[in-house]
Amino acid sequence: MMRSLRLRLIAFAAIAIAIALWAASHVMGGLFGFLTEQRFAITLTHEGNALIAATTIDAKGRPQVDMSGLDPRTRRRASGLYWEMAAPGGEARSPSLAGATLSTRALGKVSAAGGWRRSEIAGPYETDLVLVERSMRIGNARVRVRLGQDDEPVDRARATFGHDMGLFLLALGIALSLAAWLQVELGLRPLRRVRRELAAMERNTAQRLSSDHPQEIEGLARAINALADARSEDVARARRRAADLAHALKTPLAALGAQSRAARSQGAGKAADAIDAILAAATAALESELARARAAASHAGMGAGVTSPTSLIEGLFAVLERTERGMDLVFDLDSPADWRLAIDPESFAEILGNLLDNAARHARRMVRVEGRLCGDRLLFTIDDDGPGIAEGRRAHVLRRGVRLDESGPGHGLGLAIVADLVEATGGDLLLGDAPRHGLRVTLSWPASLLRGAPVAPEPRPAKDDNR
Amino acid sequence: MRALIVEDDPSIGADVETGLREAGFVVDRIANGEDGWFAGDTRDYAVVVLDLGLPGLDGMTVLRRWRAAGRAFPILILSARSDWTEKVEGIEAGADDYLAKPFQLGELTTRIRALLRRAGGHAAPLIEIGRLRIDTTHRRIRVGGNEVRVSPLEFRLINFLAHQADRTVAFADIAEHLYGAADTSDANAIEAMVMRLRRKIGADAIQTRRGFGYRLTGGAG
Repeated sequence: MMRSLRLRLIAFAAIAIAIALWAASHVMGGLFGFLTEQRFAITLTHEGNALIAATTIDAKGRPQVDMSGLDPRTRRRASGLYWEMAAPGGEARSPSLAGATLSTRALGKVSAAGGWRRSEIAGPYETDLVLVERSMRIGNARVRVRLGQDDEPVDRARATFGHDMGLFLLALGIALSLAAWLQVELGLRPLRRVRRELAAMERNTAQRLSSDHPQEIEGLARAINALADARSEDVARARRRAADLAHALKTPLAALGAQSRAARSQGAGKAADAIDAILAAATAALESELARARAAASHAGMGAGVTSPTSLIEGLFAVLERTERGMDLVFDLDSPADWRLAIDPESFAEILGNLLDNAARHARRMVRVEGRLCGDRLLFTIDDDGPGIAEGRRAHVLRRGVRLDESGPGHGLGLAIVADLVEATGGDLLLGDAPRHGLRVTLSWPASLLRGAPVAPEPRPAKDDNR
Repeated sequence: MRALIVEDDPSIGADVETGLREAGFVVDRIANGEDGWFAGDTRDYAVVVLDLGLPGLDGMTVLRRWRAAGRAFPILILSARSDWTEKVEGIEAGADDYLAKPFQLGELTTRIRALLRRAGGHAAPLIEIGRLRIDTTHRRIRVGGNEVRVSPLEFRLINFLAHQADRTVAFADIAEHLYGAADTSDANAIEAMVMRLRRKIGADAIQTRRGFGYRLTGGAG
């Protein structure tokens, strides 16, 4: 069984065309032969009528034929045109018969045309003849007249017609096959488009099949979209469940921490240390699992939701400005206020939040975020004026399980997990040097994630110093 | 000083209570949102530690109700939700800090002390310069009647400039005040901060005297 729909359709069309052309050639050939023979017979009956007109019956009842007005071929031996007639008093034959007889038996299957009956017989000179015959009264005598003509012209016409028709049908077959191929191609084009759109869906699961498909495919597209929606919803639900579970675990973990402190205050320092170690491991595992679930969900829902980076980053600044470290820092943002990104806001908040948190831990005075378009990439740079990371260590801190600040408080996620999350949203993360000193983290996403129309542009006063 | 803890988990609540008592607070501990809200609405506290996942009334609603009613005590959110979007939401709803569970008690008390430092009293509680109204008690700034959100550091800068009575303050003095030490590289940070502040309170509210420093005018009133 052929697996290609195209081949199957083309093969079916080719077979159908071949059968149709074969049938056409037979029917048309037959029809042509029949009509040619009929035409031939009619010509022969005209000759017959001329023969009858030239015939008289003498007193003894014998037919007398005046040959002068007849086709000269009837006088030439074995010319291919013959006649014979029988009257009560005797018979007469064309000289072309040269004494042979045409036929003595009346043939069955003949058509009547003006009293003439047509048939085919084997002729006297090894050729087939078309025969017309009739009986009629001439004077008082009943006369039976037969004319026969070699059917070679009919055969020739049939052969010529067959040849010409063959060529024509071949051309027609080629034209029809091309048309069928074109039809299959055109017919399959919407399916190819569906395939392209499905490939895009595979890359970006927030994508859906477009709604302007032909009627026959619309149902399929709708079903696929519904399936994708259901899948996204399942992923979202799983993500919520994972997050809820992780969050639900945090309160007992916090309670365990409280118990550990209670134990410590009652002198059980060793036990408290053990609990704290377990607690730290459990918390770290929980946070990284949460981040991983988020990255997976981000992958699944890439492009879902729209983030306003400016307001989100300002919100993150507001959080960080309240932390002990952030309290003494200047957080500066330079990014177009009307940008809207097709990145899930939660993922974007996690990425920027963790990077800013890390920056704030290391900055001396300032953390600066800049967003700009660079060719077909959307760049966000996060600069701090801290010690930076030596070039040789950058690959190390991007490895899983390494925290940027292993001594600091909190559960800052490793850069590796942030990088995973960036990748899950279709972006890249690069570590470098900030312009003066300190670390620069560069995030880049395809500019295609930038959504055109600003929702509510925030007025932005000139940055220049007022003097 | 009186502190309010609204936390439904008994061991966490007890733990925080112990920590705050050791830090010298008189502590009220409440385990549901409704009673927590009522307590905060009717009594004055120096600081409030608020859980978000509370029975009865959720923490975010309690927070919004207090702020809508003009309750200005510093609030630290203690929540199992550690997503940055949740933190942003909490701060935007009026919280002063956000600590995710599980946490270290030491970090909690450090942050509470920081909150208290920020909310510390001031000799001249309300300063008006140009369009600016600087509420030094609640550390809030209004521009022409509208409150603008400034960071603690930005507030410290405005407050410092406001106390310099219309004179131009040198970069070095500002750096000294903000960071305790002057460093030439601090000028960049101060400049960036002034630019951000101008976006918030108006471009003409802070004047630059090139090469020297800044003067707070508050903008044309």
